[in-house]
Amino acid sequence: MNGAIGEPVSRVDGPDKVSGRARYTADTPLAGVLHAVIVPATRPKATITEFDLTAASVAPGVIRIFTHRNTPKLASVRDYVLVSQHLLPLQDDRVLHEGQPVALVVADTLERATEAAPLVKVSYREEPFDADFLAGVDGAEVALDFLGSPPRSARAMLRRPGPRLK
Amino acid sequence: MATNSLMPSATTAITLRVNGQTHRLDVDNRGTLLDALRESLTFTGTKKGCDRGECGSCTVHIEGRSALSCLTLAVMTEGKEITTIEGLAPAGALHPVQAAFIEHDGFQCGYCTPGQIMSAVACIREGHAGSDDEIREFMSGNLCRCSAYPQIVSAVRACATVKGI
Amino acid sequence: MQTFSYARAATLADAITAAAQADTMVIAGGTELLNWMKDGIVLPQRIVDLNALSGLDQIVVDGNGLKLGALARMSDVAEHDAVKRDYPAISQALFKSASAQIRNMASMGGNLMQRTRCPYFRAEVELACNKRRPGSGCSALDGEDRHAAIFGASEHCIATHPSDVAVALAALDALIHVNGPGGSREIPFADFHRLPGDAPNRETQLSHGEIITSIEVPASALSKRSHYLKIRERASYEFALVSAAVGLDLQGGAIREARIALGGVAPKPWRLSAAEQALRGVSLSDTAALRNALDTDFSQAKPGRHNGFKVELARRTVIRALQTAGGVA
Repeated sequence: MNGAIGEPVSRVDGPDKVSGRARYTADTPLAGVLHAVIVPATRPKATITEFDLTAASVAPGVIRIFTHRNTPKLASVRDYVLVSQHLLPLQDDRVLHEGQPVALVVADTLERATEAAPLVKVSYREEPFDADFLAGVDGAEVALDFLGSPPRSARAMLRRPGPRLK
Repeated sequence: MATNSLMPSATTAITLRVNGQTHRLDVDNRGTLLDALRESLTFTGTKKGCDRGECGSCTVHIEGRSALSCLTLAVMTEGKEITTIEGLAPAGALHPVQAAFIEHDGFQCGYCTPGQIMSAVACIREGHAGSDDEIREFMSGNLCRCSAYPQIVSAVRACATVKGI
Repeated sequence: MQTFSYARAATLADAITAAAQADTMVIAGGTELLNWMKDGIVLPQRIVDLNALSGLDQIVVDGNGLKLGALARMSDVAEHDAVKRDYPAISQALFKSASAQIRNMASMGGNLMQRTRCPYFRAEVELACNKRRPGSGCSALDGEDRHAAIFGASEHCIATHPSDVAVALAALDALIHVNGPGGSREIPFADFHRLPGDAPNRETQLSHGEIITSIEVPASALSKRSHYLKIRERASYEFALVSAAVGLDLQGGAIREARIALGGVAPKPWRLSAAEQALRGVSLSDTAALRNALDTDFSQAKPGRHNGFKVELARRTVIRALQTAGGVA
């Protein structure tokens, strides 16, 4: 091991990666696997008012459609800044960004799940949205401790004009 | 808008030739060659990156030419000779390009690597590995988010003059 | 993708009969069609595979000109020695297109049928787009228009045509041979692609069931001294911001005749007919005179909010392409 330092050493995972033998998550062989396709929100900020699942639910191969109305509650992770997630999928009727998952269509094949997903109809009550980060900086949520920097200096950095902030 | 949501999926019985072996499959007409290789035939070496022809990780050889399996309908490859990363060299052996990728450290996570290698072999065979610039140009259809590009170019360059690649 | 039935046409007549049916589309290389289907842009119930048709993939170069079968692959045409020698702009445009894998798969006919890269047209979740849903509006008009046309657009659509080789074919006065339920006919390249007007969903002159069979380019000094220049943000595997295909007939250092077409700036390749006239007799190294010759055509440029840079960029691209073709760049 000591002799390796300073020497060009080939990666031990090399042979598997160059031959296609290396297994990544989606390569894992599974029996009886089902396929799920996300239905994305088409509004930047909204409240979901209604789902029309009539067409999607009778599409071939569809087994179940999940929305916030029938998805189990997930525990949120708030303790650690780097891994905290404030927006968990399919938990309530809030839409906070375009593309946010609002439904999940599960079917027996990938092609059938893909075909059925666009058949889910979602109705929204649209709300005004903010797309200008610097305009809303005073309303920004303060991180209690971001990698050792106290919040005051972090906010001051946002206001100070610099080469990166135009 | 006419919709077929009540029509059962149309399928076709096909014969696929992959890495010199014959496989008989019933495929959904919409199914890509990529999904047939990975899901039905468990050749998971070929990867799905973008599934829309923009990243190159799904690159295979069809009739000896590099092609994107995500943009190829499985039904259209009836009887064609398909080579995947698994078929580039006999089991247990390494193709010179595979060996060069290890020697020149042409990867980190390795996800793009099978596609890179399939493109590299085609690039050399087609006579487009004469210079680093030419290699970059003809391999530009393969993206690497780990940015192993300089090492990939070295690996390809190293094999450019090897006979019978 | 919506489900579809699949059939392989054995003869051209079979292909035409099948293609003429409702909700039926043909497939050659599939590099565009599969993405249209995945994005819900088209929903065919039937797909007809053209690849078994014989005699449609030829590349023939003789004294009269160049004949490309519609099923000839982009890479085969690009690599063809006689094409490189006698129609360099065509080979260059093809090599600058897409990626090596896509060039191996994609057909010449399919290349002409490719559709705009406008992000609103291509959005996976449908947005207001008069090409996708006539009458729904044009999201780019008061949205993001950096990619948009500076010539030939309308209030219904400001999208550009992305093909590189189409620009070269337009410059070199190609002829498109088609066959369909009504028989065979020829379409001059300039007429093949339509301007959006008030029906941007109708992009070509093909009627339903018609299939491109071949593309012809006349032999000339102009095609022999031709050049394709593509300006883009990435060095490779990227569509053009602006491109130019030129053909030159030179006498000494002066232009006897020129052909110029622009790409990336209009719903179809944009011929600079006034410039072609004005360039007669102009010395190729007289950059100021070259620039002046472009004024009439460029007076028609109508930039939007974010694509104004294309006007000057296109001018310089033409000048550099002309001087490169003439060997003075």
